[in-house]
Amino acid sequence: MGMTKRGENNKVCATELNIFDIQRFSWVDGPGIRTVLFFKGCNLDCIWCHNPESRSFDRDLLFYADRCIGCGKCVDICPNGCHAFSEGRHVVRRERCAGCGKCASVCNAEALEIVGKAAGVDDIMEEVLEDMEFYGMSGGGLTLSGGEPLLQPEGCFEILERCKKRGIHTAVDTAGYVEWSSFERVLPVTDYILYDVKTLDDEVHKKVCGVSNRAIIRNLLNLKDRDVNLIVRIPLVPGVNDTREDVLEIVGLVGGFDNLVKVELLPFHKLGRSKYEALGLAYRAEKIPVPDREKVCALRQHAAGKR
Amino acid sequence: MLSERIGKIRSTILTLEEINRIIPKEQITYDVEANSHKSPIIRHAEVVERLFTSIAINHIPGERIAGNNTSNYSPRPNHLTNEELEEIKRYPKGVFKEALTAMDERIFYVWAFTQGHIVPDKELVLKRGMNGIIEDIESRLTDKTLDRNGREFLEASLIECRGFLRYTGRHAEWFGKKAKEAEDGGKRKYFEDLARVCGRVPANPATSFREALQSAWFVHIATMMDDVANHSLGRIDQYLYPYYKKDIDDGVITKEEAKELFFEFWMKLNLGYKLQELCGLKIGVRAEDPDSVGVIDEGSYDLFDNRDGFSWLSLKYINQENHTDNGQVLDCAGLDGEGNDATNDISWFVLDAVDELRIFEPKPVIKYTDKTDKRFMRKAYGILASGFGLPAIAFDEAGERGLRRCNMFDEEAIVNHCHIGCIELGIPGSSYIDPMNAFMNLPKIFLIALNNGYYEGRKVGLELEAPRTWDEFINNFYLQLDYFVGLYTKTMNDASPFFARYFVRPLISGLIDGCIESAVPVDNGGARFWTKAVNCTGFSTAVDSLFSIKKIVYGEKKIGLERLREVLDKNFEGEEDFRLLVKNRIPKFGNGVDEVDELAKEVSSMYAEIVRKYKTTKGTSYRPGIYSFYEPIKNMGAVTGATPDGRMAGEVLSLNSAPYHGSVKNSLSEVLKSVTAIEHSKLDNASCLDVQLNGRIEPEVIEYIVEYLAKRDVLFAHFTVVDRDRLVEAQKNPDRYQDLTVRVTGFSARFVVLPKDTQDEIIERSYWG
Repeated sequence: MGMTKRGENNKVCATELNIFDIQRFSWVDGPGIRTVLFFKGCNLDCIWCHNPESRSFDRDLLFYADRCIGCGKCVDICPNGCHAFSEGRHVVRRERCAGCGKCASVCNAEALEIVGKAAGVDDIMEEVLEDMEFYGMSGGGLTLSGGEPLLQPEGCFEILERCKKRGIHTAVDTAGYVEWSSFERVLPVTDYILYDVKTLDDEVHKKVCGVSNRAIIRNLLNLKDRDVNLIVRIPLVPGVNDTREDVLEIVGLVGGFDNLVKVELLPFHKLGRSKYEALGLAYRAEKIPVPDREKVCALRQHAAGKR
Repeated sequence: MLSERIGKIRSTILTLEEINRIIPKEQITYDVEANSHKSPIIRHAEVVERLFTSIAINHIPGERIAGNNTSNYSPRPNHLTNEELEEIKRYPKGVFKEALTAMDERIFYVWAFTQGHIVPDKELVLKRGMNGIIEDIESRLTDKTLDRNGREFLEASLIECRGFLRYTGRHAEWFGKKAKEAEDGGKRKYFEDLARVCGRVPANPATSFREALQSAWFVHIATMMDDVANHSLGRIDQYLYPYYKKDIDDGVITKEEAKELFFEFWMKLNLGYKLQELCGLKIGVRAEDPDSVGVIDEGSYDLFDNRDGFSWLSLKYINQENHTDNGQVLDCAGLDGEGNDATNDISWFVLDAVDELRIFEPKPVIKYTDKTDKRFMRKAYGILASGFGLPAIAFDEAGERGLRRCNMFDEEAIVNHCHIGCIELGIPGSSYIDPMNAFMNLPKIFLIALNNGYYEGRKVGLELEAPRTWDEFINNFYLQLDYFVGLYTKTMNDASPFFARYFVRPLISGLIDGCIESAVPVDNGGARFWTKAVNCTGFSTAVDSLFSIKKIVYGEKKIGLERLREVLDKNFEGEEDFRLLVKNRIPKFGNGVDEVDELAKEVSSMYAEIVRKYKTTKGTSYRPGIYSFYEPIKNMGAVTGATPDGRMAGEVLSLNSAPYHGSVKNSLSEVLKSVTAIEHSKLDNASCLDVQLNGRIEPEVIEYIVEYLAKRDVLFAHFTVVDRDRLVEAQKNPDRYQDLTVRVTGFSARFVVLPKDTQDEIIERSYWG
């Protein structure tokens, strides 16, 4: 990182973004058909997180044991002795991993995968522009997600500004635990903010997300009536925020915003579990049940009707 | 909301016991040997006449459209003598050696004659009545210059047409009797109406919407008795509309009443299909018993049994036992004669029927144009998003472009085109297209090219010089392809006149423009537009294999041809890492990679060019298609060795023009980019995109995809929104479902890499819709 590149119009782009994925043709991350750019690194520590590979700012090594054919090429190529075979079993010594990705590059079985890369704005734009036709017909565009994109405010600004110049609709999906100045940086070039709110109860928030929610709520209130469309998204987690009161409380907080488009509920799911395994991390949400459908439907009524 | 009456009929036809109670299975007989002095076409006509005059009339309580005698319940008896059957069985032995070898190797299949896959002209019957058609045949028969074949065909057609009217007349009598027996006035009126309608049509032109539907349905029954099934209905909303409009204008029917009648018609088309679904019957020739031609019972069959080097698929129909109705395609929307949107109330009834009845036959196709009513399309997208795989969307402009490439159809016919049998393009009431043929095994032809004409040491193709460059390599592939298409067309041109002597469709021929005039049955070349097709199988398997060669042999020079041959011959044994390299690390068709997509475009264009070079017995060009269904990709895959795309020996081949299973790893945008790189209108016989969508889909998403495809050269698209069964299947066969992505807001993962309990959870989740 810190490299400089020549960009469009010979303007120097100072920034490379720390990202881990670009997904095209998404219809669930803002209006229309969208490309979603996933930033790497998050400063929350939510126990139900479904993208555990997004949390660390460093590169992560994922290992899918069931795909490994035991060819041993990773053992030979790793400069740090990260891989070894012990009694026919592939052992990954993660503490030695420097994230160089050499092992993943030789692993034809795709059992090893390196997640996280520095990507230049030009390269990202090239991929974003691929789906212009779909944005045009659907009112879609680019969504920055993560991780926490607003921890890289300059990068966000640069890519969003480029989009706006091209007439591409823009959205930022944030957990809001950032300096207000980061919002101010991106707001002029952002059409939609997708704002994740977990709970207004600070004690609970500290327990399940690892940090206080005060800055998050303060930033949210600052967005009131600003020139940006706001979608508030609540990850619905049983035992954390799945009562009628929990939902109504959040709805009550933002219900009066003129710029609020809607409050969305995103029911907790366990699809991320295999990624924890591949990362060698413990899955902390094992005991959390998946919310049942009727309850989600009923809560959605509250989320929609009471604003 | 379905009315109580319609709901009852629906539940009756969906209950096998109920159908069996109402429609008894009958075995009508015909003494072939006693009539052996007659020609096969006259015997065939007498057999069909026998069905028309003998089968029992029946009635589903409450229905107002009469006739439930599908061929499933009263199979057509055999019309061929033992001697003729022997001759037919001997035929393949006389086929030239190279073709037999190719068929033995399952490089192609020859279905020596067509069943179904035709659109008899129902509109003509509605307008003129069967009496009008009978008059035409009688008048044609006064021609003293007719030869014996011509005369016998017309006589046979006449026998069947007259028999058909006796069949419908028996309905009128039967209902008349029921009316007399009826106890109350309401019942009496109900049966009197049925008797009156059956007394008028199809003998006379239809004068009301109800008569039009009754007439069309009777004709459908009749053509299936003459032939088998896969009879498509053409542009049903266009030819029914005038009758509907008149009734509405005259105030004799309300829109609601008309819709109910239409629903009844719709459910009739489901009768035979449901029987198949409920019984789980499979049709074909029993693989282990060479004398089982035409014998059908439950058990294992190989639809593509290659005994004597010949595909005997066709012969199963000799006794027409238990054939099931399917492939009853019908078209709606499109443009009218003036080039305006042709969507009308009947088109809407079609969508209402799909939406409210939720039964799997018939299979509607929307002829999409940029003028098509957007509200109509939105209703269709809503149905598709709900997970129901119907209707299909066809792109009118590309279809027209394709048909123009044939240099055969006139402009009026081209605008009026429809879909036939499965997805093939044809002209209602005037074309013969012999659509489902060849299934040219491209991956195997690729392997033969790789081995300079040999397969597992046997000489199968052309002996060519070993290629030194990529250009030479792909040129060799085209030469082998050309060789096999040539073999196929020669075999077909020899075989079809032979088989056309025995397998005839005189009644249907009378409903195809050109046949009466020329006094030639449809299968012998009587249709106004007459040609044949060559479809191919395993398209993307072949493209991926070719690209692999280009990349690793000639580009990166990772491996030599000789060594690659060894690895493939050993089915990658001891070379798993290499297999995974070619499978996972080399771009595939479906990844939106320009270099691969360009190759796909080139291969499809070359294929089309090669096919079009070859002429039918009538001098028309063969029509190319990229088209296969599940049996060919499985059966041909089973005898096709390992390919350098990472596919193991014996595994299935790719389907239609879709990327190979597991090739799609990222986004729908990339797949759409790849599949639209092909100029589909060059494959004018048929080319189908199977768009698989996963998770909860908003109808708008389907709309965007359709609009994207409409701007490109795409003929036909099926939309599948994934359902629970597919997920369960994916869990059992993860290799085939590598591309299955599950989406939940902000999260997306490939289904098959998730642990089983997570998969279970998603399977449960998908119930929620």
